[in-house]
Amino acid sequence: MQDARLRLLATITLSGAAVSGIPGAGLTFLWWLACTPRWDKVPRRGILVAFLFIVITAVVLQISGGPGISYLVRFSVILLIAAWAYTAFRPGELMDVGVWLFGDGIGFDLGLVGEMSLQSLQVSADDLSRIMTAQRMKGIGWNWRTFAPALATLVHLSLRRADDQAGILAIRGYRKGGTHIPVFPKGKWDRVTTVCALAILCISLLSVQVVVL
Amino acid sequence: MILALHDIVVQRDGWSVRADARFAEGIHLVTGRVGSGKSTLAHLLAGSVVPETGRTVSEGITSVQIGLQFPEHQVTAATVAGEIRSWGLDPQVIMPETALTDKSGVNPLLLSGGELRRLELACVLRKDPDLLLLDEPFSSLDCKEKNALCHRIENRNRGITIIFSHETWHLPRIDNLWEIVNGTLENRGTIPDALTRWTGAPPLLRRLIISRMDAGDGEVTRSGCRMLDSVFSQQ
Repeated sequence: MQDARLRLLATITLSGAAVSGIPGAGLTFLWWLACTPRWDKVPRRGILVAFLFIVITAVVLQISGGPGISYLVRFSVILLIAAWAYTAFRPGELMDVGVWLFGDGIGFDLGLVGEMSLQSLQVSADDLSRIMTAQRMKGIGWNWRTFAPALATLVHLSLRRADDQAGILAIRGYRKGGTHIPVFPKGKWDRVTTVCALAILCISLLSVQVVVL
Repeated sequence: MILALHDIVVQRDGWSVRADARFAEGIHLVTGRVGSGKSTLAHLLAGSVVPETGRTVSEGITSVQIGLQFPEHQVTAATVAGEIRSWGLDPQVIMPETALTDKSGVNPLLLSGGELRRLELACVLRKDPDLLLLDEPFSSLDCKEKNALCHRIENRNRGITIIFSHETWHLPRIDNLWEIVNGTLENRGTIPDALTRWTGAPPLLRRLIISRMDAGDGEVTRSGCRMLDSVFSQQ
């Protein structure tokens, strides 16, 4: 999907559909199978860690008498959609969407925050890889004891980079807002897949309503 | 002790680095422009990057250490003393060596860039591995500290030491010069002949070579300078 606006809309609607219940999650999974390149370029280590957290939460929920299995299915599908949205992202798109939605003032600021956050995520992934290399060189295994210092280093580096970036923006005269002309490339199947995503949300909400009635 | 790279190709978004090389015991310098793939190659040799094609073969190497480009990545303890212990080393030995005796309880992440670099380099060098990889070891260090590091590296009289750096002024006496040019690791040979083939040689060094050529100092230097001139005239 080329158009960032439609991709964002599809991500929101499909997430809503998946979280609404098992039927919505099933339909969203089918959409994911049919409309995305699936595992190409997906950060598998990150997905695995996120999936692990979902599994732990689901187990705790199930043990305590809650809908653990439903949670596992719904949030695993949301994870797939999130992974697709993340890998399909191209630098500058959040700024495009932000300005298109809310204009050069607040839209520019939101876009800038989004761009910097995503950039930070990618840099942090590199940081984590380096930290794991360093720990391996020290003969330290990856466990809960080493997780805390690694996390501390990641947070420290992120805060320092954020501080540096804020300083650079201030020096360059940034106060708030800015001028940006959004450009949206269009894919052949963008509209069709977005309509499918909207339809899935409608069906999911209807099925929830039927169950409630 | 040998480390050999056979038809290695590592690909990243928009660029790649190729290597077909053989590192023997001694000090090697791998140089190249910023972004040429030096760090990627260092991590490949450390075993943390898997190449798309090719293989790495080592003989007689039982221990590997890498000094990372950003020493913050190596911090795993909340104090300087703890950080030294995390390397399996004695703080009483390393702290005086790095002039950090009065900072034993300080968080390593709160040290200055130069102090943290000194600390991590001291630990890596003290481990004295068979294969020592140093990724940009001279950054954040002042001239005095760079010279001290050069002496430490020169005094390592065993194993393979590979320095990945774009530093061209403060370097130890190296045995072999390598250069990454257009995404390929190329062997420039041994010093001093390698200097004449070094396309990224600093301008002053290049002028010195040319002046030696004018003084009639050897055919090798002369042909090397002709090569350098042809490269520089293309840039």
